[in-house]
Amino acid sequence: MKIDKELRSDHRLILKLVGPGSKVLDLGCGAGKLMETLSKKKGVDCTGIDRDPTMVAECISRQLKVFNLDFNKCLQSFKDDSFDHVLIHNSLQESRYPEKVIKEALRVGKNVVIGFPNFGYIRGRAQLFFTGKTPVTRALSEEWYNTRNLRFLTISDFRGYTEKNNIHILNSSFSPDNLITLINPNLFAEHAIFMIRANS
Amino acid sequence: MESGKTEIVEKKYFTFGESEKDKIKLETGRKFGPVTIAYETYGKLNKKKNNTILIQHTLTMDSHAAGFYEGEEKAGWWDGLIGPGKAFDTDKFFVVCSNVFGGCSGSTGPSSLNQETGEPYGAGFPFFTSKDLVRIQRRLLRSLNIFKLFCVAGGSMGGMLALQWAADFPGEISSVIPVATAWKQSPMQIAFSEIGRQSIIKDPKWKGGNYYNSAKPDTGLVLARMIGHITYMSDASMEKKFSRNLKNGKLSFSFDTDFEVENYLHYRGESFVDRFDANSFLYISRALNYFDVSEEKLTSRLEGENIKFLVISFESDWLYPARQSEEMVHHLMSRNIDTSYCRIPSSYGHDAFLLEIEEESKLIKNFLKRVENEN
Repeated sequence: MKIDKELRSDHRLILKLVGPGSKVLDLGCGAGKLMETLSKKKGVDCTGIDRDPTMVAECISRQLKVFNLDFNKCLQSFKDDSFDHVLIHNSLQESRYPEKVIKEALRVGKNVVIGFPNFGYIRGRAQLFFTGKTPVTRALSEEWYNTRNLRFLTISDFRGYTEKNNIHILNSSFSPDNLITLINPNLFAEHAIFMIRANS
Repeated sequence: MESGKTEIVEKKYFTFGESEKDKIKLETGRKFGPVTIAYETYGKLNKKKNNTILIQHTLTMDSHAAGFYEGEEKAGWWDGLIGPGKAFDTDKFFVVCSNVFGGCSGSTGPSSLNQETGEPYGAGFPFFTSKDLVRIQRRLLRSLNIFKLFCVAGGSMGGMLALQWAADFPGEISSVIPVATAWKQSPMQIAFSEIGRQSIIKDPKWKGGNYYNSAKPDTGLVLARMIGHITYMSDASMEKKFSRNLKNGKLSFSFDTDFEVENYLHYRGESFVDRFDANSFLYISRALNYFDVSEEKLTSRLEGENIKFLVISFESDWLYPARQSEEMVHHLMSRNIDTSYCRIPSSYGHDAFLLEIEEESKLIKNFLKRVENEN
């Protein structure tokens, strides 16, 4: 398959992880750009959930299915394994109930793709250490007083959580995509994408 | 959006059930006929006969959903959404809107003449349900050679009828747009309609429903309409529209109309009496109380059907709160039925579905595009 160079690198990564023609649920789908890419390039059957009615209208204008609901509170309506993949891309850190969301996502999806900014990224650590201020980086671009992020997690935090909860990591990728990041992602990755499933 | 040209439309009529065999058997078991249905159409039916959109009106509205009657300046009640280039694009779709059975705007209702007695039906009119209304509409569509609907859409009671269509004839429709509605009436909705009905019934002029040879029960009907209008607005929209503004600039220290909001309710109530029949109000509101396509009654009928839903609710609507739309949406989600849902921010209350035209247009237009592409 030809990969479009114009695509955002994180969207390109997710495009690779998602099987053609599969069924996908996107939690916190925003304007639906990722879903549009998946459905156009891989014939993926996408459903989005977003709290913001403006975003929902955008999704509908992209010819997508979307629910104007809070994904923290509505996943119980889906039956087990309703989707091939559940995407929680850059929205887990905005969730009030991340653990509940992950557990529900693992139930309704055969696997879950989670992308989040890494709070352990070296620039952030350096800012906190040298300036004593909450880090503001490319991936964590807002100030403490206006950020939508409620949860600040590192790659190590996430891995620790999966071990503790018997969750299997099927795939992990980090950006920037270079050797030094691979050697120590928790220190050098700005952003991480994991594909996980529940160990049965 | 504006096409610039004025769409002149006219009311048409369809009658059936003149012979004993052709009468409609209502849900109560009673056979009834003849039935005349007033309706309007906008746009053209295509050769494949698969471009029909059925628009459903609210309790007190009629078949005049769009365009203008010859010589009149007031457009139809959803004209912002229906017309050339609009959300329900009449360059593409054949839009039909019919006045419900039991109504008083051209369709057979309690104020119609009973041919057997030569008198209006009055309280002798049969009770009917939303199921009956849908089946009667279906007869109209068949007479127009339409066997499949591209979409059924409506707000409030119109949304309920759209959902009743989906529950009763899911194989005959490609998409449903229920707006500012619910899949069953809540106790609060039943309670408000009971107050409206009691206002009419307790009016001595109602005379058990047989008032057509004397004065109308206007006192009761005005009151029913005033109550209705409060439920269509919101605290915020009333504050914005009236605040505590006075009608005559000073307090009268009497029970006369002092406040603008009182004046508005009286005006609304009184203008309603001129155009609406009290018995129609009673019968239709009763039919709505009986409406219930919740849970299995709808979802079990949709399995395996190629049908898409666009559910729309409004933030400040407390008569048909978003909660009710969301309850339905959750069930549609769990049954894996192709559904989109949007809760539009608005301060207009229930009336929002007649006013938030821009937001609705965007959603409806794009949704219908997808229905077209995937059909």
